Amino acid sequence: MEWSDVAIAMAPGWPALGALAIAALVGLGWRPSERAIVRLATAVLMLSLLSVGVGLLRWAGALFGPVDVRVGHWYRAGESSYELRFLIDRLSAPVSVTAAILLLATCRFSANYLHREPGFVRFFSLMLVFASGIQLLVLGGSVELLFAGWEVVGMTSVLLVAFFHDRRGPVRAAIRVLVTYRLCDVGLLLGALWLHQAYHSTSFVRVLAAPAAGGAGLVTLGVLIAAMGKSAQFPVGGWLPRAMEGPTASSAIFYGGLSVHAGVYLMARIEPLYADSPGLRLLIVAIGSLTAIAGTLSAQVSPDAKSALAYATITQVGIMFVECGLGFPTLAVVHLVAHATLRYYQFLLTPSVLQSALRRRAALGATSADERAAQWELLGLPLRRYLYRLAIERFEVEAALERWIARPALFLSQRLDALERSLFEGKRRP
Amino acid sequence: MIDGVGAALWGPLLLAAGLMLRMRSVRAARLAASVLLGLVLMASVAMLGVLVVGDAELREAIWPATGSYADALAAAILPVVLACALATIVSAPRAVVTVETSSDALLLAGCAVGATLADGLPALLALSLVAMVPLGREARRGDDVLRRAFRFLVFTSFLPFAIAVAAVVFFSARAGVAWPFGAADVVSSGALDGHTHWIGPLLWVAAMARLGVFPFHVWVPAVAERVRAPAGSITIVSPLGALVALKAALAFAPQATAAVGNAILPLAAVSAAYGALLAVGQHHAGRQLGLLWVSTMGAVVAGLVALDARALSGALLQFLALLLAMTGLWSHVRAVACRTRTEDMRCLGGLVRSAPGLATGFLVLSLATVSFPGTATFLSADLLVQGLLAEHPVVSAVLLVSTALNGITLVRAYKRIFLGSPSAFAATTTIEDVLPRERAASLALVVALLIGGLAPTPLLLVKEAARGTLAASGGGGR
Amino acid sequence: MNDPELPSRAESGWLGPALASVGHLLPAQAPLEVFVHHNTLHAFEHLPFHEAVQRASEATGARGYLEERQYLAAFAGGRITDDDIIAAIRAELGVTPSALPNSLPTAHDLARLVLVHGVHAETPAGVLWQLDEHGAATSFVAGVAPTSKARVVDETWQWLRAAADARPLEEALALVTGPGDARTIATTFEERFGRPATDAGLRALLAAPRESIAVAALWEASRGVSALAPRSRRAPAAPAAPPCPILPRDAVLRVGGDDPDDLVHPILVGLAGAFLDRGQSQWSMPDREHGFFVAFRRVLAAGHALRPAWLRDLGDQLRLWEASGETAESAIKSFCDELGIEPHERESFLRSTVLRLPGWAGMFHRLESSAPAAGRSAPSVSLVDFVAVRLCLDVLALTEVASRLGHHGELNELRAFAAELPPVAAALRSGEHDRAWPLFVVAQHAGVAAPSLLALSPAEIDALVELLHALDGPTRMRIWHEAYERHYREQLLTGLAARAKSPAPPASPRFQVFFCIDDREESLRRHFEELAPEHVTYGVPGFFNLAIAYQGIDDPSTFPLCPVVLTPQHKVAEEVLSEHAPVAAARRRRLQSLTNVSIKIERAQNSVVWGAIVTAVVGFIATLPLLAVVFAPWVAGRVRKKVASLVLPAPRTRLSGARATVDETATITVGFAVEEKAERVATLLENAGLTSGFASLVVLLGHDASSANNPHFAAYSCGACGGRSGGPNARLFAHMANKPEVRAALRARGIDIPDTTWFLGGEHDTCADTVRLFDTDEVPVRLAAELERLQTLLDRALADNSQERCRKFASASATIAPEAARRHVEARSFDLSQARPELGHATNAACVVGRRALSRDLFLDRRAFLVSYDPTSDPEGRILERILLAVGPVCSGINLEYLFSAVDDERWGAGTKLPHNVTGLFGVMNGASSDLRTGLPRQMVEVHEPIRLQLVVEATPAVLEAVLDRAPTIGELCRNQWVHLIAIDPDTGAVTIFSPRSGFEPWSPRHSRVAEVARSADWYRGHHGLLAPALVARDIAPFEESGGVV
Repeated sequence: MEWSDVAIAMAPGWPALGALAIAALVGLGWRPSERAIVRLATAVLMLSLLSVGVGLLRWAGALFGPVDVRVGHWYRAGESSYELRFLIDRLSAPVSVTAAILLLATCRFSANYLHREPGFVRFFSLMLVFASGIQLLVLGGSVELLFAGWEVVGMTSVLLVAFFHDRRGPVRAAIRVLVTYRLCDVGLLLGALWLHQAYHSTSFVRVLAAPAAGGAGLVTLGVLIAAMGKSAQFPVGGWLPRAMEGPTASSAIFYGGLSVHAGVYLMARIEPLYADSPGLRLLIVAIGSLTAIAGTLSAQVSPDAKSALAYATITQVGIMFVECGLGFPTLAVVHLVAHATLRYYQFLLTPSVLQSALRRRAALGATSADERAAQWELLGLPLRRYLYRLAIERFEVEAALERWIARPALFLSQRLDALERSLFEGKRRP
Repeated sequence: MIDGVGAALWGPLLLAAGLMLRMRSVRAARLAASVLLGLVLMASVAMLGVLVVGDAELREAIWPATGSYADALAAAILPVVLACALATIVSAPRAVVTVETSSDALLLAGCAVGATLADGLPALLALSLVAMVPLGREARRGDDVLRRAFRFLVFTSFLPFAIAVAAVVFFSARAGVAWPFGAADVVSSGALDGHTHWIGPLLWVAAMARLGVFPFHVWVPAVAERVRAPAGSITIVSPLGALVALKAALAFAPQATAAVGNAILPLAAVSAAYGALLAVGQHHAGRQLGLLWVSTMGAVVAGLVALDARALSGALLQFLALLLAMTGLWSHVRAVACRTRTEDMRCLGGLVRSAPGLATGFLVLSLATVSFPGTATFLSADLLVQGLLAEHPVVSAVLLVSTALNGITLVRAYKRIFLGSPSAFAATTTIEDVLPRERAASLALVVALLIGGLAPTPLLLVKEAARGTLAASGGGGR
Repeated sequence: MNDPELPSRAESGWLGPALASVGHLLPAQAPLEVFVHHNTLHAFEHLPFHEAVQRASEATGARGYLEERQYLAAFAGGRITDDDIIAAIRAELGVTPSALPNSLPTAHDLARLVLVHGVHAETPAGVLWQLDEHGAATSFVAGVAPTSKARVVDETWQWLRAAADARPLEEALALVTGPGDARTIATTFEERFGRPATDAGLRALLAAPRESIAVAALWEASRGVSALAPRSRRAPAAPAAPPCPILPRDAVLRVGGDDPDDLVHPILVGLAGAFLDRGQSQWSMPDREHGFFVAFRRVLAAGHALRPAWLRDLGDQLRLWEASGETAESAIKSFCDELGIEPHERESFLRSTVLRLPGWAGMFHRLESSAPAAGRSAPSVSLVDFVAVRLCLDVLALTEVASRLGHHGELNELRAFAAELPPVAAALRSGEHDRAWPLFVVAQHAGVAAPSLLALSPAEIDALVELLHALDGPTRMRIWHEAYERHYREQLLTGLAARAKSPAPPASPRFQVFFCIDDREESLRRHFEELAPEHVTYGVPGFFNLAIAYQGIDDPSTFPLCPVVLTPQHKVAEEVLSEHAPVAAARRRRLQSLTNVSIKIERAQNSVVWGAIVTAVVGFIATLPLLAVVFAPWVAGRVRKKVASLVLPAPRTRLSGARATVDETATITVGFAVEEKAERVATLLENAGLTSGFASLVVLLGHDASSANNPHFAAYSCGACGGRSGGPNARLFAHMANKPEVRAALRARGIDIPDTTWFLGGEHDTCADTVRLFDTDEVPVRLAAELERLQTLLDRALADNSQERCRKFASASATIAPEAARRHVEARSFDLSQARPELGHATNAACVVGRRALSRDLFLDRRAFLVSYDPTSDPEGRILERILLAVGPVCSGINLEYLFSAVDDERWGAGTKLPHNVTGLFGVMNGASSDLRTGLPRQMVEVHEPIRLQLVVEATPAVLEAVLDRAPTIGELCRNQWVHLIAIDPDTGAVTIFSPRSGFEPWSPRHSRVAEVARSADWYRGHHGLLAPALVARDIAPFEESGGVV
């Protein structure tokens, strides 16, 4: 184990340490100044970026072939062990660098933006936890590590959606996000376990190089479900516009930048598992293209800046799924990196839409939507109404999920509870 | 020596529990109980330390069958059980603490320690009977529903256990096994041959009822909803059920376990799903925790009967971690209930503004309950499901989904109690934040769970031992 | 057969008036681009302030004053003094003695204790918690003074010892355990004191004075006494009957049903936003030109839809309506019938329905009466449509939640059904928590022991309990608020009185600069004047008396530059000088093509086909600007400006302001005729009191504010120009005043502007602290040196001004140097991450109308609107009336909007900016589906001290009384105390404060003296918080001698 191995392992490690330090100090009664928090966060994110830089050097040293870094075990007992191994290759390297840079930018941006906000410390701690999670997710060399990062990313996302926790809206939205994430993540967990079962290893290097085993299809399906959840793909993407309840900076880093692309990264990562299965590839392409089409239509009708941007983002993420399904994972990752940066920037700029619309109106003497609206009005009125309704009702996906899954489950829960109460209480309540 | 050490641990606890009832000052009683539990806890931690890092001689002295399953398990259970009792009694608000409460905590801790260390079924039976006393007293004071629930517990848990123990004693005595007899002696003597097919299921019923597994769980939500005193939660969050399963059912009737396992596994899966499904729709915080307990115990029992080393050790670790996490959650609910005089989540909300400390504690413990990475349950759930996956893929899928649901339930409960704007029905919207002693208790639990999650290697000695035991008891050790 | 129809016909007219009355309660905020400050409680302006606050709080559930902890913190920090509290208590309770006996402190002292210790009724759970967890029955609450403690302990000790001797044991014990049977008493005694309940135990306890037993006795006495208070008084000042009868939704919620709004709002908000959209979405909603109700009906009925269960039947119903041509009005009426709303409930039903989403309803209401947005398909907006759609969804949602509760019948039976179910929580009843507890706590603070309480007669107890009930939450906050305002008023008046005593010697002016009355210009004026005594400034409303419809060279159309209450009659355009026409053409061309390209790119990013390529390419390119704006905002902003000025050259322009004749017939005319010009110029100069003694350069500075990433940008700009820049007005005014023919006309009116005088227009950017002067090329050559000098001086004053502003920013050091401060504020104006580019009008608190001599060299900390007015030339108060009519509503509008946004930012303000999401280019929501957030965001008001405007006018009380009578708008504001009116006699300097009850009452300074400093900076440097007024000494060295640049 070389020093550079440890350095790479610290890419997720530094922010985690930073967050732990803040948590411990606050737990002990420290009331930190904003400046102290920002300095600490900047320092650990810088160190994390440096660690990623070391990884890049190693990758370059390996002539851009995969670098498998093994740092020992988290724990080991008998046959089951939890290995700490990291993988730097053409997929993880660019994403990891992008993540590190965008996180630093968020830290810098939020220092001003969240000034005097009651949740200042909470925001920065969660951002550090997220930084740790996303690096773990990206650099993790085994499914277990990736899963740990994945869960951390999901939970910080939920907690940041509920950042304004004394309002009802954000908290409800957060629960909505949580439900989607948690249920979809079961897929990833099952996929990981099946992977272990089928290949007797969860290391990407070994699994992806191995000849296809029996469970690959099941693994792909499980992982696909999780990826769809996190990347807001059709039909489980209804949470995304609701997730805009957090501060603009966190919407940018999560739903413009990193978190929403995690699913794409995951599909690109396991591409060899489904490369030989036309059926699965078709499925992925279908999901991606459906998402893209639904997303772009919804973006056209969204009257608010953040939803419009969120749907535009989903559209591209859908296309990245298509790229993965067509067998171009590297292309998907290139697309991912550029797109994440762009959307991140655009999210930061959403409060400016009114100013820039006025500027445009001044330059052109008309609203920029006019021309598009004119083209759209060429369609026949009934068709226009129909399309518009579909788009504004978000293709009714949520309605279907609510009607056929959520409602029956709640109904069952209440009925069973009434039944159970009647055992001892002797009366049945409605 | 372990018997001596054991008696030195649980004897004073039970004795003090009895003596304490004569004390007049509530404060003094609580202090005495806390100090005593603290001392015993330190002793048990030292014993665990001896087992993990001590030199051979010392290890031999304290843990005669070093490396055996029973020793490893006991060493792991003792600190957890004592920590739970200590945390409960330390953090309990003064509104629910009386002299009796302190006595109950000592009594229940003493029974749990005794049952962990005691050799022989009769002792286990006796202790599990004594451990029902506090709940029985609450039931006598409480309403009809609580009395029915208590009776249910007695009939489904104690009665089958008593019959089975009587049978074991009878058949062993007839076969001439030397008294006091251990499981190995009885099993190898063949005294129970031809009877395990009914003794085994009886023991399993007793264990499942005590753990609160479907369909014998019904007493748990009833008690959880009605008993606010610590006696309620300590009775539910108790290792006795698991000990009955391990030290009676698995030990004395391993073959039967293999046979009834196929019947119990579906029940365990149903329990996991059923508890999770019911918990989602609850308004009452205590009842919700009770149903969550039912759900999580489903997973534990599934691991216990799967007869797989990984699943078994995963189940045990999961169980221990859950004892800690649920104790903490219960303390938090109790803290909120005593401050607001309600456990109805429709009448709560928005408390994070005045009580950020309580809110944070609740959230972290919730995450630790539902296998969030970095906490002890992440690792144990991983082991458990890995162990189950090959043979019982459907059961493992059900367990995963119900864990996901439980996560939703708990975070939702967190939201309903602490976040958002205060409910329109809330009489109390600002409460005092976490008190120093509450903070100490929940921090200790959280730290224990985090250490268990981040540096789990010492705990895995349980796992190593589990394999040996399964092999020894002939249940297989895949 | 006609009979059943008759009544419905007779009442068919109820809807319109009902909606109209509801409409008043809605926020009147216009789309963001024309943000204009106004009184948040405009609907209640006819009521006295405190009554209005109370009524509005009841209607909206918002808080009317700051929170108690904020006042307590202000008290602890010296922001409110004991004097202030006592004065406020005296005003609230009156000076009449109460029925309290001499053994107790006076009512005023008790009230003071209640206030400063925040004594209040606890909740039942709270009392139990205090008793159980903190042993409140046996130990003093926190904060009781040692003397009070000693008094309670000693008095009780002696009394109890006597009681132990004189009474049977059980009775004596009961004094400290409360009554009960022997067993209860014994148990309680043991629990409380840890001793056996025996005579020996009691005597051991009484061996020495002890806190535990004294407090226990006091608690038991409080319980006993408060239970004795006569029945009739027993109910606490219960919240008045709910403002409306229980409506269907409330009935459902009361029994724990789901909230129908949770179902309705996500759908309704999405539809309403799409309908009102002013250009954000690419596709506009079909049919929206027919109104919301019709669009809703047609769009949602299109095709077969899969909907949530509760909306299953929506499509069929809509198609039915479409066939029958249902109107919104008739739909609303049938919904009311369906829900079983009785005629007398209709208005409250409508009100509660509409107020569930006040922001959205308010926007519908506001747009109903205003011009449609620019763009193609404008919606036809009306509130009644919104209500109809809302009710349609409400009824379906109610059906659903009713069925979840088990009610499957008609909705008009829902309330009866719900009344049968057990409520989630029992209604709160009066008890120990709100009766004994406050008495117990205040007795501890007052040092009143148990025997004193027990000795009171029923009438005295009654008076005591009554007093404590009277001091309920709203009353306490009202007193606090008055004390809070009084403190500032005393400071301000002390300062002004000191200033009035030593009037500045007149200096022959070298530069005369007109500023907007804006409070943010106060400091710049002061700094500019500090540079030399011959610098004279004036304050006039920033549209310079020119209500114009203006079109700049980059503007697509005209927009009004005047207060929103006026409609401009004159159109003015910026025109390119002919020699610069090619530059202008190039600018236009480049601007258009740049915009087109950016639009194309943006669209491509959102499309499926091109998106992948475009986002990939643009994404990589965007990295650089992203990193630059985040990590080096100042450099990025400067570079951006530089590039913009290279790519888009600015041509030289003039304003077209000339027109030959007055045309009375046209509604809007181009430019001004000479007479009109002269009239405008003369009025302004007369108002300001500048009719002679003109300097060679007279400058008029309008103002604007630049900021990035800020949807509320218009709220920072000039309020007198409808949320836009006042620069064009200043430029136009200067242009007019320089015209020889105008000057000739002015001379005829007695205003002789010498030919050596030149007027110059300019614009002050209040955020970046820059000044841009217009048309400097036209300045006569002889004034070139003077102009240069002026620019230097202005730069210097701006730097000082930035320094003063920076002291309130946490991101800048409190001792920052002026030049660094300028760079700092400039960076704020570019910085995307800056949620508070400037602090806007925050901390505004006063308005001073009078000669500059009254406020010159007085440090007012950017808290005062300064209006120039010369009382000596206005004996009748005609000019004053004109000024107050223009200035009063504007300043009080700003002041009250800040006030209410600051006291409850969640409900009256827009909340924190961080999650704001610009919707339809007209408003902001939190996240993707919330109510529209109206009012001011927290970042604008967090440093604001919510104080009503202290309107100080230099005029005699008699003149002011006459003005109040003549101008009802101003009269209402002052008489209802929405502003505090204060008169300073122009001749004597005597100060009088207007009170609606007793007219003008004399005021004299109490004890505080006013600090004197050489320069403003000496007073503020190193301080972050607000500062009291201070005198800037007159004998300062001129600018040159202190090392300035020439």
